[in-house]
Amino acid sequence: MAAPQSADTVRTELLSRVLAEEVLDMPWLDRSSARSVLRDHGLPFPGKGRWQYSDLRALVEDAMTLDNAHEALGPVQNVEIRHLDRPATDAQMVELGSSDGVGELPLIDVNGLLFRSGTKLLANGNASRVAINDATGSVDRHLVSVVQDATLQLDEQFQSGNRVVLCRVRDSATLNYDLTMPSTDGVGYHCLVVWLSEGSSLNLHLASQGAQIRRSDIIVNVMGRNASATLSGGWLIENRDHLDTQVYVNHRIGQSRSEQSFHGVVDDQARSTFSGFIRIDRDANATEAHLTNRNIALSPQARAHAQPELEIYTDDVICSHGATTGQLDDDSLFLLRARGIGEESARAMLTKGFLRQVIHSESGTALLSL
Amino acid sequence: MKLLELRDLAASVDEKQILNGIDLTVNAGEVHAIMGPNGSGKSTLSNVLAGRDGYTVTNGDMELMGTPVNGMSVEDRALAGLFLGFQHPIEIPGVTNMEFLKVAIDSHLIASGEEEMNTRDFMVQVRDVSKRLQLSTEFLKRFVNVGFSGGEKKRNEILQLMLLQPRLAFLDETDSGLDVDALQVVARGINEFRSDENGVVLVTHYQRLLNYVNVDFVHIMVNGAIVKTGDAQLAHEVEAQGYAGLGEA
Repeated sequence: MAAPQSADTVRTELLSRVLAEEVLDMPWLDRSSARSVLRDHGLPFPGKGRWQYSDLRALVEDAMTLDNAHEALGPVQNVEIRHLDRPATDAQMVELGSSDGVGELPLIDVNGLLFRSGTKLLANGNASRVAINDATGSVDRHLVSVVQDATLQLDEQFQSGNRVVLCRVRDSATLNYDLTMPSTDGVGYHCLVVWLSEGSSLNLHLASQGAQIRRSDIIVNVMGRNASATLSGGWLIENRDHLDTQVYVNHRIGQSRSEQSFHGVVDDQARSTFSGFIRIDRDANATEAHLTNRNIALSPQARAHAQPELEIYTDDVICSHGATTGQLDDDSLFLLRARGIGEESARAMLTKGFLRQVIHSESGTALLSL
Repeated sequence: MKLLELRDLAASVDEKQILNGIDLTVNAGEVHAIMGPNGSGKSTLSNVLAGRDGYTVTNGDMELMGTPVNGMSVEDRALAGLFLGFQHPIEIPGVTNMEFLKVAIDSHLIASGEEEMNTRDFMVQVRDVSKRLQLSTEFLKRFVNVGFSGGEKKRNEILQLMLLQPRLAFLDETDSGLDVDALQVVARGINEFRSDENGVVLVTHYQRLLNYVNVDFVHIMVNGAIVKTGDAQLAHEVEAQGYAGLGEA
């Protein structure tokens, strides 16, 4: 039997396979930035740092086997929708290949080399509603722009596969984003990057069930004054599910606001990790940023890791963060039972109540039967 | 009919003996008050009776409607007819008052072999009782006790009492933290509830609730035991002389 490979060997070998898998039959797409980022920085070390909990190799290998096309989106009023495959030479689609400005997130660039389908959405009106369906079987990438003063309601569903969504929310525009991730046996990598311009807002609702492995990166770059990001969500995972959610909120400029509240419930032998990162740049004075992550483990074998991180380079901020992991509240349980409600029902009510505090979207409420 | 019978009941919390041999019988149609200074074991008695985890019966017997309750779960005691009114009603974010009340009522109906109440009948009943307790129906949509004032929390307790119609209401300092107006509303609820079929035990530190609710018996509890029993007049003596003045301290 071969000796186990070192993390470094795995990483190097995996990288050369990814580079060799670059999709070449769409020559009009410029994938050079993704290629050079991967060549220069390589892949992360499996099992370390931000990849401590999720199997990087499984996710990258999965992306290399996916070759279905993502389903085309139907027409929507006030939204221009262009698909990658038609027409093949659409100059405006070229930028879809670029990950410029995203920062150093190698898995985005793996997607950049391998994606075969994608869309570009330009929302230029009010209260339009667009749905991006599941990615199962595909590597896809979507570019969303919400023009000045426009409002877009984006409903996305993601189970497995490999997907990157890049959103630019222009001045005074609003992006309401409902992201639901139903249960699957498969593996999935999902990355959402949002740039917020002056006076714009993002309202993100995440509701997730479990997967064999699912890693979800959410990156919000607050680039303009008076911009605000409200991120809330929750998950309920069971069996041997694995969910790894990492949220990065970067305040590049001051007088901006962000609030994150995520509740997680883990049952059976499931494992969740949540990493919430807030960075406030040196010039980002008068920023307000809050983060809470609460987890409940319903079984003794369930595990929830929570890791809030703050990096603050200015004094003039209001910032708070907190993370807890525990069980259902004994006093609440006692009150319900003392009114004749059986223990099992009481536990179910409290679990739902815990999630209802953070899940306000219709799709999320339906997914988790709240 | 005997609704509650405690015989030489002793109990401990965290291996500390708190109740030291309590004898108490409550028959249908009776209202009892248990009074005592802080730390006398009044709240422990409530919790022991309700079957809360961490409270251990070390001696004696406890019967509800003639059935021994030791070993029964918290919910089974409630379904057998016991209602514990909380001194500090807990807040349950995410669970609406409406859902809580409906599931509680349905649990009782199912336990007695009946069907769940249909939503319309439930709403009619809840609205009617809420109105009598001067609680707006808006508050049914809110999460259980979240953002309620002290008075609202206690009125919510009485609402649950009136909807569930237990055989025995054991109300632990329901009067604490209430202003006079709220106290009168709560007292009116208790008076409306009491009947020849049920019994009420008011656990209280002060006599003032007894200005509004007529009691048949007053028991003075000190150091985990009932040291004196009398009629309503005994509460006035406590008020005038303090617990120390009763010669037991």
